[in-house]
Formats: sequence, structure tokens, C-alpha cells
Amino acid sequence: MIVGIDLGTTHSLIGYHGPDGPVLIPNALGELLTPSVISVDADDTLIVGRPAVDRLITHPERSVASFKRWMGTNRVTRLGKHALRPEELSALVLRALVADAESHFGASVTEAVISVPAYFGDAQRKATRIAGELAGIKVERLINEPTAAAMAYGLQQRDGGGRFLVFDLGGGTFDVSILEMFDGVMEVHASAGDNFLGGEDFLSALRDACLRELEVEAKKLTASEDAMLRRRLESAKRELSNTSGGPVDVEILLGGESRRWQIDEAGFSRLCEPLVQRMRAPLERAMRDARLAPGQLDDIVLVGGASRMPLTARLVSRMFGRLPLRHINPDEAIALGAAVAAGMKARDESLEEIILTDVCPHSLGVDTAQDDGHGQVTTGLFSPIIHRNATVPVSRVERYQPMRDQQTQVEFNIYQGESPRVENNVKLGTISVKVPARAAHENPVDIRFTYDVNGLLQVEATIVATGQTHEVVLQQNPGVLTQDEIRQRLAALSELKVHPRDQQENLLVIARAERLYEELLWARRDLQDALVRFRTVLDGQDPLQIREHRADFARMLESIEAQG
Amino acid sequence: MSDWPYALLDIDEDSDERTIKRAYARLLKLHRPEDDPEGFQLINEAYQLCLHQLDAGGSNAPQGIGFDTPATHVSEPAPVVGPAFNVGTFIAALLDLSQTASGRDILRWLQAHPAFYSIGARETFAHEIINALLRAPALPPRHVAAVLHFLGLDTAGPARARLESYVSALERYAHMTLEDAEAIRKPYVESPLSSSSGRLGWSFGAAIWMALLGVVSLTRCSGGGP
Repeated sequence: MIVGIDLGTTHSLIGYHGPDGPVLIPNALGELLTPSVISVDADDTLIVGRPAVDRLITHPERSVASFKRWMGTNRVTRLGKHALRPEELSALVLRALVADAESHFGASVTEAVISVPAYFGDAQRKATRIAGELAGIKVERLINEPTAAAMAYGLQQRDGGGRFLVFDLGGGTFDVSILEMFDGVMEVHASAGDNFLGGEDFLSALRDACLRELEVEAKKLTASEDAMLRRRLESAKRELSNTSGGPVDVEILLGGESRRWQIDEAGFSRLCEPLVQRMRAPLERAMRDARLAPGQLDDIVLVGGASRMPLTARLVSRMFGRLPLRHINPDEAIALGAAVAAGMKARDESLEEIILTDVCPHSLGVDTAQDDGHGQVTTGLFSPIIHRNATVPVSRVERYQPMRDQQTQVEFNIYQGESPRVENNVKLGTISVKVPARAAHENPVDIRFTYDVNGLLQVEATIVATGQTHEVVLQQNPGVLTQDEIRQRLAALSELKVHPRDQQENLLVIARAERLYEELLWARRDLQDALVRFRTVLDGQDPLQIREHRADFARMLESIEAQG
Repeated sequence: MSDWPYALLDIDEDSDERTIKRAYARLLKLHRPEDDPEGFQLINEAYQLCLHQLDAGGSNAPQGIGFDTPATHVSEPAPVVGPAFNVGTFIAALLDLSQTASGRDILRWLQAHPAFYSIGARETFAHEIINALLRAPALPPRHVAAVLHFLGLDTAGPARARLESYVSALERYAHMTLEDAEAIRKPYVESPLSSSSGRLGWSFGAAIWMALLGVVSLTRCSGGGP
């Protein structure tokens, strides 16, 4: 069975392609969205998902969220006695999702299609594949998130076609893709985006403004006060998206003191103006690279949870002179599409065959130097070989010549990026080739870049004079694990104790009670007593009794939270 | 152009967009990108060339295939069309602001400018703006960097390539008034995560005047071009 997975910054989902179309699988709590949050309890056992969210407040130093943003880096997170890389944290989320799917099917799951932001670069894609490997599944394909959303959307009109723009604002990333459907082909014309722009940044803008206006220094907040503030502001942000612009009240406990803050939609929009501005350039670039005018788009589709904010629809309307569509539940669209892609990978017969062609979102090239003919040499110029938004797979060659006569060695650095100067781009590796000593203009070197459907880059240098070819293996990117390291990490990960999925409901009531204990001074005694009672029942290990007691406990928490 | 793309797709040279796409889709099923990368690349190239030829013929804008969807439109007020753009007024206001503002202020002002909101507006006016700036009193390098960043001319790509000589002339022009070469080399950074930047030893001398003169004549040559 191949599953489709949306591994998101704030939430992750898993689904498959059933006889009646894509289906999402609920987790042990009966929810489709599993928060991408990890926590570790007192005896170093790991907690994944919703219960870990409450623990961001009660045990901030033992919990972590938003780690998708660190994919492709070496950043290590300490959780209790564990030190985990972003791939490993992601692997823990993937494992939890796979366990949910396995319990749903009653069979093991070994293969998956995982969605990634279209604008993810080389290191981030590799890290995502490794996360899958560490979770014990074979990653059959990485699919770009906007493309996945389009699949969920496109398949609704079976014999439809047309051009559309997918505007995908998730928790941590922003993607724009322009696609066209015709005759069983889904063609991506262009993708652009920003890997560090998402709902989390809008939340941070809200938090900064709140602290500024209440004259509280961010540094003076304890980690759990900060987590609590973020939680309150997150629900205020949701409320602002739903209400008709009226003010929303936020009440928070800061430094043991209850404070009140108010914000309306207009104020929120003003705060977020710099973030909104950052969305303009990717939209412009995608349209320009696709060589389309706004009038040539059949639809503009908003997906990703953060696209619920009215300011996104306003921006799109202003730029395109038309109103966008909000289709399927924006939180679920990508996962549904990944499930469709999984079904196609399995060559599911109920699926009409669709061929997907995608693009390479970044320009790839080498550094060069140029002589202006007056003896002035400019170095560090970026010479793209594969231009951004070229349809993949693609193979391109460019010819270069040494700077000096009789030069015997030529070195090229390989870069990914859009700046005309390499220092602003991302370095992927270095290649160095020996050339015969002769006049520079008679000594060219051909550099061939080949980029495959999985986003892997191969570089080949040919010395034209001798016909000698050097296949170049890119030096290991510092943010990517080697095969040996993966094996070690895999062994280490299998040693980790993780709470089994049938414990999720118990973990959740405990985590929630602990959070309320932290937030509500007046209810502390009752909560303390109830927690002790529940722990005693758990020790009794009688499933029936645990279930009954848990239901009572949950009702009690419900009513305490309502009195808040 | 040779006719191999049409032969490969097995279509007539006067085929319309619909026919080109149908032929491409048929061949794709036999040469899937994941199964036959080389075959796919050849077919895709032929397809792109045929479409390009169609565009160059100026026969027709590509037609979308309309379809009805059960979706709801997001309820928002109807979009506003930007006011007409006058380059003279724009440059005057920019120079005025430049007297007192920082690069960041300039960028904010440009971002809020209603004339540039609709898709493609920046690209449409970029040439005109840079041309006018080359004839106006010089802006400081930091302000030029902000303008170039806003116009999307600080990234590699077709827009930058088309205006390369104008952009570098404008950069040099800015440096004649201020020695701070560093300022313009730095990318305009908005995100705190972007990295910058190297040392650069650039010397500017009389050659710049010559280069500028060269650009002026280039301006004339390409005046009637595409």
C-alpha cells in the first residue's frame, strides 16, 4: 500500500487512494490533522502530536515545533537526554502517521509519496527523503505541495482543463505554482516562493506588536509564558479571519499579572504589511516565467491554512484584478493531492492516467569571471546552466574557457539561486578539472548539468580538446547526512522509546490538565487532585475503568476551560 | 526555424495550440518523464518550440479551456485598477523623497505605490524608470539598490538580462557621487535569514564615463528594438 503524506510545518496528514477517491486517515484521537510537535516526558519517552502541543506550554524546554524550517541544516534539538536533527524529528512524525495508517488498514505500510514546498532546494529535499528512510518507509516520490493541491482540485472536474495559479501559504512556507491541465497532462509552468514565510511569521508579528503595546520585554517572558501567549494569539488570529473585522480581545497572564490586549482586522493587516509585501515578488516572478497575463488564468486557488487570512485574498485581488477561489478545506488539499499521487504511483486502475510534468524551481549554474577588455576582471558572476522553471528532467550544457593561456587547472563552484552574483546564492559543491596547457580560447570546457524528476543534480565536465569526461559527484552538502550516518541514526532512533498510539488519549488529557494548571490559578487544586486520581487509575491498567475515568476527566477539563 | 519539432510531434506547421497540446499529450504517454528522461526532454523541447513559434507568429493569445467549478469565490470587495502612471511625476517624487529618506523608506514607498500593484506593472515600467533615472540627478547607491530590488532587477532572469546594460550604468552612475561600493553590492535584504556578502575591490575611474557614453549610444540603438 502506498500512502500520501503532507509533512507540514504546523500539521501533518496521511491518506491513501481508495475506490472512491482520496481518503485521509484519522489519528488515534480521531483527528485528521496531527500537529508536527514532539515532546519528551520525565523518563525520556517521546510524545508526538496533539498531547505534545499542550506540553509546549508546560514543558517548553522538553518540546519542539516548526522543525520543518530547519530541514537541510545541521541544527540539533535537545529534548531531555536526546539530541535530534530535523530529519529525525520529522521521522518521528512520519512514524506516528504511518502507525495510524497501519492500524487503519490492519497491514503494514512501506511506501509513501511525501509533499514538499515547491521552493525547497536540494538539501531540503534530500533531508525529507532521509526522514522517510529513518521512519522505515521508502519515499517513492517527492511531490511539490502546490502540484499536490492542484491534483486534489483538478481531479474534481474529470474532463476539465485549464490554467490555474495555486497560492499556497502554509504554516512555514509560501509557494506559488502555475499549472495547466489538458488531455491527461498536468503541466507545471512555473513555481516561485519563499521558504521562510508562513502563518508562523504572521503570528510572530502579532506577538511582537502585543508585547510592544503592553510594554513587556520579550526577553523577560518565561518559555511557558511565551508559549501560552502564542497559543492565545493563534486563536485570536483565527478569530480575526472569521469575524467581520470587529476587534478581538486577548487575555493573557504575563509575569503573574492578567493583561488585556485588543486588535482588529485592520490593525492586524497593518502589522503584517511587510510580510504581505514579501508575497508579491514570487507571484510576479511565477507569472513572468510562465509568460502569462492574469486574464489567461482560469482560476486562482488558495490553499494552506494561513490562506484563510482575509489579507491574502485582498492581495491577490489587488494584483490580479480578480477574486481568488477557496476550494477544498485549505488544510487538507495538499494531503488529498498527495494521496492521489500515491494512487497514481500504484497505477490504481480507478484513476484516469495523468502525466505530471514539473519544473526545477531554482536556477543552477557555476561561478565565472569576466574580463571587460580593459583589463578589469570581475569575479563571482553567476552563470546559470539550467534556468529556473525549466521543465524536468532536463539536461543542459554550457561552454567555458580558462581565464589565462597555459592554465592547467579549472575550478568551478556550483550554485543554486537567482542573484547575478554568486555570493548571494547557495553553494552546492565544487568541481576541479585538469586541462592541457594551451591558449585559453582553444581550451574550452563543457559543463553539463542533468536534473532528474526527483530533484537530483548530476554534473559532468568535458574537456573539449581531449574529449575527456569527468563525472562529478557533488561534495556532500554539510546539511545532508551520508549513508553511514543514516544507518547509525536509524539504529539510534529504533532504540528510542515512543509512547504507543493507544496511549494518545491518556496522554492528551494529562497534557491538557497540566496546561490548564499552568494557565488557571483558581483551578489548580481541583486539577491537581484529578491528575493524581487519573494516574492511580492508569496504574490499575483496567482498560474499561481507564476509559470511563478518562471521559469524566475530559468533561471536567472542558468545563474548567469554558470558565477560563 | 527548422521543421523537426512539427515532424516529431507529427503535426502540420500551421497547427493551433489545441492540436500541439493534444499531440504532445499523446507522445508523453509513451515517453513518461520518470521512465524515459531523454525521450521526454526531446518531446518537451519540440513542444516548447512549436508553442513559441505560435506566439511569435502573434496569431493569438493562448486560449484557456474554461470550466465550471463548484467552488465559492472569496467574499472581498472588487479589486481596484491602479491609476495611470506618469514617469515624470514619479521621478520627481522619488528624488524628493530621496533627500530625506533611507533605502528602506524608499522601498516602502515603492511597495505602497498603487501604480505597481497589478501583475506585470513593474516590468512594464522598469525600462522607462531606469532610463529616466539615468537622466536625472544621481540617487545614492542604497536608494538605487532599493529601486532595483523593487523592480525585480537584482535577480538573474530574462528581465534583468534585457536591461543589463541600463542596470549596470545606473549602478555606476550612483557610484560616481558616492564612493561606497559596498552598499550597492549588498543584496537588498528583507528576510533576516539571507546571508551577505563579500569584499569587493572595485576601482572606478575615467573608464566609467566612457562606459556610460557607450550605454547612451546603446540606448539609442535598442530604442526601436523589441
